[in-house]
Amino acid sequence: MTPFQTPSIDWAALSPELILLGGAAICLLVPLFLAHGWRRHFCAFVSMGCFIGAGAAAVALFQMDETGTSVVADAMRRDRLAELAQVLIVGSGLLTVGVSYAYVLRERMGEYYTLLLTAAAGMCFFVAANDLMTMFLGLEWFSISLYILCAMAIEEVASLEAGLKYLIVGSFGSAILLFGSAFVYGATGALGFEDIAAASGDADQLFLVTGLAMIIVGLGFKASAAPFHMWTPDVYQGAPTPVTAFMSAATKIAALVLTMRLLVTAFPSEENLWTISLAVIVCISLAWGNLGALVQTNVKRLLAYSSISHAGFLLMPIAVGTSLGGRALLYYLIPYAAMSIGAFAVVGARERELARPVTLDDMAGMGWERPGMGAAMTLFMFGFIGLPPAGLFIGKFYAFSAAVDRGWTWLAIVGAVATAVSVYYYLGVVRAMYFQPAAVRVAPAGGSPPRELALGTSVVLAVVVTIGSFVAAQPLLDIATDAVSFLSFPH
Amino acid sequence: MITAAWIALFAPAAAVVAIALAGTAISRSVAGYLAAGSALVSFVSSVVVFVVLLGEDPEERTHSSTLWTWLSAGDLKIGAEIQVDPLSVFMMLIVSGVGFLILAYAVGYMAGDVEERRYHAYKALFLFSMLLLVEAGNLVLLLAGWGMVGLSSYLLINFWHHRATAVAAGKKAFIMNAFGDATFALAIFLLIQRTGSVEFDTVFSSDVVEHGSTAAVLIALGLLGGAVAKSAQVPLHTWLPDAMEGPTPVSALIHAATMVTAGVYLVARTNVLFELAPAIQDLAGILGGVTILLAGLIALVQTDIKRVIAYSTMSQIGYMFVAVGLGAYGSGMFHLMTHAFFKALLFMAAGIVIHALSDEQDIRRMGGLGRALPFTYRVFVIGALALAAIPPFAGFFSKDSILGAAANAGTLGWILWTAGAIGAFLTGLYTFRLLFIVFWGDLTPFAREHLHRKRFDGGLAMAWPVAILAVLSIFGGWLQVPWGWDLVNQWLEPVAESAEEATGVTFTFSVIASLVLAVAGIWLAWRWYGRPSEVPARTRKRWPWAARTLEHKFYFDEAYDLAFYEPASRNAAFLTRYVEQPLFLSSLGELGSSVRSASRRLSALQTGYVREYALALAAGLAVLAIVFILVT
Repeated sequence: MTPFQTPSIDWAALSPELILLGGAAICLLVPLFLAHGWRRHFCAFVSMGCFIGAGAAAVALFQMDETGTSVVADAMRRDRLAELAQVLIVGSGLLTVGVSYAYVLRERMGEYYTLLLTAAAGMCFFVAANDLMTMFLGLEWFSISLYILCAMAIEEVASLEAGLKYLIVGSFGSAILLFGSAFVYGATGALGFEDIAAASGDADQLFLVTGLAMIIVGLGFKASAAPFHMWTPDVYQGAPTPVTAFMSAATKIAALVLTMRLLVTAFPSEENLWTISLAVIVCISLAWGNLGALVQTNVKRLLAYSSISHAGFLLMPIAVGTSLGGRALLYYLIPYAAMSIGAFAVVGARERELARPVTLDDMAGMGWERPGMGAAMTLFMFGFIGLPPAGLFIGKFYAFSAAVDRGWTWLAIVGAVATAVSVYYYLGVVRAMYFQPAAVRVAPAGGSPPRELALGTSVVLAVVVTIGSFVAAQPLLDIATDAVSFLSFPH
Repeated sequence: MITAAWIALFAPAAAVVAIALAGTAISRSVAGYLAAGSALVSFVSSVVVFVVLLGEDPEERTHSSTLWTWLSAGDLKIGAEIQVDPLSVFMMLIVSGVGFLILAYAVGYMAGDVEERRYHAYKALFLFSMLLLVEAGNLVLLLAGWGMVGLSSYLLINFWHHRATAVAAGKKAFIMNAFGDATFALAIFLLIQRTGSVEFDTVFSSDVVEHGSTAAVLIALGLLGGAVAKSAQVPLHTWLPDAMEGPTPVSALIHAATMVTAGVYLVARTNVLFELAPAIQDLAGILGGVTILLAGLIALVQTDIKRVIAYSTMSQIGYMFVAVGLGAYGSGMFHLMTHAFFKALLFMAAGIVIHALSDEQDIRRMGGLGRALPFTYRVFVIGALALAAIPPFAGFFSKDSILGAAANAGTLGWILWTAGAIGAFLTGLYTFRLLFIVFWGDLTPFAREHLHRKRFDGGLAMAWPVAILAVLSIFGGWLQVPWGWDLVNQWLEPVAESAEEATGVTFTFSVIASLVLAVAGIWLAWRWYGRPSEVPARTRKRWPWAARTLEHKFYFDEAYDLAFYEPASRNAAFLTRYVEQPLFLSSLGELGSSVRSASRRLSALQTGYVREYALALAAGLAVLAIVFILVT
């Protein structure tokens, strides 16, 4: 009997995750030796440094890797697709640190930043997954971190409720994903994505397609695509706003990039099934997200529905199953992530001013009281609609053109109609900020809170990315094209 | 060298951002100095570019630089790209040089205005847009600059947004320009369809479209539409006089020196495309000729000091259109330059007068200001002589270069020459009517009551830019002297080779004739307005319909009202009454409320119970799995 062989490990490929995990360890342990007042600042700066470091590592890997390789016993891929997604995830994390800086959770800030870092590390791991086991491991890794993060504000019932709901429904979703993986393994006898594709010809089709359906449901759950999105409004609304900001951006990036990688790599011969079923999911998400958003009064909940409808827009290029679609997805994620975090950051700032959940009426007059925040929020709202000068203009253009290119003009039309409906609620926020007389003048009631430099910086960075992705469209599209060339699309 | 061109472009943009971000952290005058300083940086950089180009071989003076490709689709590539060549440098020097002087003047002029910072930021934004327009290296960027100058013009016309007339004027300017922008964009689309490119060097080759074909005509017509709207030529001219509602430095910079001449630049830039459609190029010249006459006549009866100068601007741009319409690009661009000098000078002198009289613009209340404002009077005389094309002032050389070229250009040339010669007479008449009414005679009671003056009439801050422009208005024309040298033509030759030049016996005749006519105009102005005279009133009584027609500006506004606004609003009223109310207001309201109720029902599904969420998940899965199994 041969002794157990440890696989050779490509430490460089794991460097983003390792940097983040190292930071997590520091944030967890070192504050114990620090004076109480210092802990929050220390952890924030360590997290910031780790996100920047992990981003730099991912960028360096992106520069180096001209061909993709399988690493760690083929459990992971080291390619530009994963590295681009990692850059986007740690970028979201970095912006989230700015949003979180002034957010105080009594003595639990060390744990907060620890979990933020582990969640980001899990997502970085997840997007590089190359077999079903790694995928599930990564999914659970970041999900568990997020469950706790959602419940982090334990003084608030809403936060606890959000954490608990996310945990229970999330476990259900994970179970479906795991069950589906087991079916696929049972049918093909393979775990690796390429091996599944190779074995699918002789596989038991019943188990294989049932497994595929379950995996789509499990991943659609994480991307909050309808009808698997039911948790989203409650959790987004209840979770601490910085956590919501992070989830809305990073979880989507991770879930969608991996969905594309998995479907394209492991199920090319079932392409006729997943393309059309994803297209139906796109339509349901667009309809449900947009209709649901129309009557919302709580701004976080409104943005949650908006995030559901954007899950639809983001799945559209995956459903198309072409490399043009892949390029559209990766480009779309850049401005979307920035705008999503930026919008939640503005809501978070307002929340802190008023010390209560923010409704649309609470936004009244914000455009005049906080001109910078108001202008940024206006940009984000117009950007979500898909108007220039936000990069989403080009993102939507590419997503729709990918659908048209595939011959699915009807899908692009559904997207256009959904966009038209979304104008109503996005502009509702702008209307509240500028045209609605302020119910409560914030300033006189106990003095306005001091300006938050860190949060403001995050908002400014989000604005820069939003507009910058429009201005530098082609360079970013080239990067996306490059990253997506590591997948071999069936078309 | 190309770096200097980029600096010239982005310096004003940086000033906009700085002023916007600094907010109240900087004082108002600092905002003004920032804007003016950025213009100076642009000017110095432009001079650097100019000097470098001067040292190169004439055929190799075209350089382009791309920062990055903004968007590419197939073979079509749209980049952030600038092109530096003799034509663009010529414009850069005018725009940034005159722009700097006017921005510096504005620091004094706008001092004390409530929203001064916003003003300076807009002004710098305009400068950036205009430089983008002239430096653009492809048609899309040119269109972007084209649209952005329209935007900044709009923002500045209704800068005093509490005045209803200013807001209306801003809207009018914006809408008329949007019409031109649209035809311009259509021309670009057509070009992309034909050539698959927006690059200047691909598009401007003579084999793009067939000579005289429908496509060539449509492209040139679209471009001409944009040029005519931006340059306020008949029939899209009615916005310019109203645009005088903006602060005077705005009128000087945007509505006299730079933006309104962009149409001339466009025709010169796209001359290859116009030469493929000779009919449209002739049309450009004809529209210019018509504008010379119409605007010159209307200027005779205007009573607002700025409107007189505005009509004169239209008329002078008419000359430039005649020049480029006949293919005399060098002469057109030359007149563009001298016009920028003396027209900015006249506007800024008028601005000093307006300031000194507590914002009064009606010339019927002015009079006898020559002794009260001696500096302003002197520079105004210089500007007026330059405008009336009296040698050796700048306007003489440029205008006669246009008329001389027209005299050499066949039948159409002679027709346009006639228009231009009559225009020379009218120019002398209306310019000196203004001068005599405002500055000669005795102080009017109004002026005696309201006059307040500082050193140099309006303060040093306003005086020195005016003085520099006065010098330029005297000597600026000597770049191109008949029977001497033609530096402008030579300089522009690699980009826009002039088809017509002013030479020969016809030119001599043309110079003498137009000079005689201009002097006759001045003489008539002196007879009528230079001393107490009954003639104007008598003339008016004898031909009341003529006076009425001129005062109503040939009824263009009324005609447009009748042709476009009235039918549109009547149509809208009809549709509201008979279509919208019975059909849509009831049913659309229901649609809206049914969407909202669907939305509410959907939210009701969101019970908050985890078990139901899990059920939804399971149900979705069940449907998906069953469909998958059935399909396989």
